[in-house]
Amino acid sequence: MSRAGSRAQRGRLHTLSAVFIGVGLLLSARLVHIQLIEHERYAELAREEHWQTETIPARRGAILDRDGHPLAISVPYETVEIAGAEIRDPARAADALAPLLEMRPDEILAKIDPQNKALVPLKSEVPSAVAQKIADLRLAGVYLRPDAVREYPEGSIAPQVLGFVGRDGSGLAGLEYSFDQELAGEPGMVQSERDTLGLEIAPGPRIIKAPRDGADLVLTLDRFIQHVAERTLADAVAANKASGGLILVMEPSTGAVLAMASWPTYNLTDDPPVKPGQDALVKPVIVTNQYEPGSVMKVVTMAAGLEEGVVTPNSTVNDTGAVEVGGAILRNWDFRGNGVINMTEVLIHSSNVGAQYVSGLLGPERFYRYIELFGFGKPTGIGLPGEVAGTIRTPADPGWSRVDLATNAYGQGIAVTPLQMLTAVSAIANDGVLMKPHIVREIRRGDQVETIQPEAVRRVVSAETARTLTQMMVQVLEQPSLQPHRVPGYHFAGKTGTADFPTNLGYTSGKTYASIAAFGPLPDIRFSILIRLDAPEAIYGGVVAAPVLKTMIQELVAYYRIPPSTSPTAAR
Amino acid sequence: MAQIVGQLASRPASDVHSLRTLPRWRVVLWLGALSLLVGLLATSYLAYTGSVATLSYNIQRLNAERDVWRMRNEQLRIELAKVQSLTWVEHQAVSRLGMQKAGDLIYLPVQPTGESAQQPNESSARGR
Repeated sequence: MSRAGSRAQRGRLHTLSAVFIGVGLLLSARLVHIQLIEHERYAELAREEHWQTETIPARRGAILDRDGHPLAISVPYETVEIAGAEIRDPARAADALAPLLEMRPDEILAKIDPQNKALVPLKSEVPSAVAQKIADLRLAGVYLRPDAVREYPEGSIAPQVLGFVGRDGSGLAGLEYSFDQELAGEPGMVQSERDTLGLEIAPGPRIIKAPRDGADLVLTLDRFIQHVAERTLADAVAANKASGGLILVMEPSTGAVLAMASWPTYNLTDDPPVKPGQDALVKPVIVTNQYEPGSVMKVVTMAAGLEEGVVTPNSTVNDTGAVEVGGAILRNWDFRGNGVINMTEVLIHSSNVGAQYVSGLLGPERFYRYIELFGFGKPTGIGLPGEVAGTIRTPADPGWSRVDLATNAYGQGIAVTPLQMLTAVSAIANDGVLMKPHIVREIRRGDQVETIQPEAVRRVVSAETARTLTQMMVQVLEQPSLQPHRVPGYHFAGKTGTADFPTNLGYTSGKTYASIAAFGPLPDIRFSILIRLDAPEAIYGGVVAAPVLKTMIQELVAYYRIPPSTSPTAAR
Repeated sequence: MAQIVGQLASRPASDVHSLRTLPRWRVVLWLGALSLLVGLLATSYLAYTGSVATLSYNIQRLNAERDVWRMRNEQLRIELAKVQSLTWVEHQAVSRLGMQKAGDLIYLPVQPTGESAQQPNESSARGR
């Protein structure tokens, strides 16, 4: 080989070496970039490729009544979905699915769009037995998706208390909303290695985090009493041509709410439960809506008067039918005077003049202290969403006048929630001890059970005062005009109330809240009841609410198997 | 195998060199034994992984089956709750059994008769 040829050959060799070295350097640089600089990103991509994470949904806790009967419970079903573009023979698929899904073949065919690659739900709430048969058909383009459905075995019971869940399974109203975190639980997950087709490699490693199922809520509600309250209320609203109403039943010794019914309402089993524009129906009005209680408030006024010793049951007042206070003329509900009457008769005749007399003797400081002691002006903390405090105007507030002290004594110019009102009346039934109302009795987290113990808020009046007042209230319900609404053999204490609808311009004539609050049977008091009808045709509580009370008492004493009292008069 | 390798390693270089002079049948024998061992190991590994895979698939299938039964169980539970509901019971009582809503309950006072009224006293006398 010549010298020049050898040099040229060496030159080519050097060039080739330089190219190789250059390419090698580039590859090395890229390698360093991938392996070191971008290591995490590519490692993550590789993990994603090989590992797949599936969420295991947690079972939503059930809501049970006090005896453990399910009122709302999540049931796993399957939803059948179709991808029209993947179905090879739509007619054959429709024929095969129709008998299983209890649908007509043409109905199914109409939902199969051969152009559509996306999954379209065909039927939800398919039981697993049927789903298995569908899976066995091995139809291309037909898929099954597990789907938990909230079921209501008792039908639509206590809808405003229970509330409902959205499509994503989260609570949107009532206890479903306020206890959403407890009920929802925590989803789990399973991580497993997948092959190139995305199928799980059976012998490969699996990481499983088990879901934590939601807690079950055991309520204080009794399904029978709730059922009776709802039916009685619906009948009463219709019979009295009222615009609405409510029935609340409580156990005075514990503050446990046994029934909470209100009208108008909505149906939990409808899909969707609430139509657009019906949002107001969702609210648990027993805690979210305040009203002027009217004469039922005289119970609180009288309790304060007796406890402070400014009156006794035999103290008298000259009821002329009207009285001038702070420049305003205040009248009795029937515009009639009752003459010289004692305090029991003040309650029997529901004398406004008599009630304002007691609050006048107490004076604002003592009167409003008792209003506060009985729990008014503060949410009870029952755990339902949207609870309000009520509205009380005290001497510390601007605009308060002496007239307020007088009208508040008979439940006008003061706004409370129905739950506050019954809780206060129940304190009298409970020997003067105010209990915190509650609706959740237990929270069951698997084997762990958290029991909500009855909680005494405070003593509001002495046991003696409570018993004296109870006797006075017994005479209210046993007065001749209410005799037709008594259940023979049972003695109840109570007070009726009729309050005008307040408006921005004063009070609406002819529209009232007609109510009654009662407890019994005496001597062993088992329950207290508040009944209210809104804007009934006959406006008075004694006329429209008392018959409803009779129906409720009849049902409840039979349910509790309470025999009639042997004593003709109530005694505690 | 380890023994052979050990023996070979412990021999002096001259001895190792003399491996070339080993009879051919012995080399074939060693290689055959080695192949057999490797083959056995491979087969048992395959059999092991195969059985693990089969077991894993069986576990997955059984888990899926268990989930289906659990679902059916819960669905049956809700059916049971529905037929125990007040509305259903009331409907069945009225429509199937012809029952009617009870009127006012009448409680009859029962006075203990002389004989039965005395029994507790007699029992007390007997020291119960």
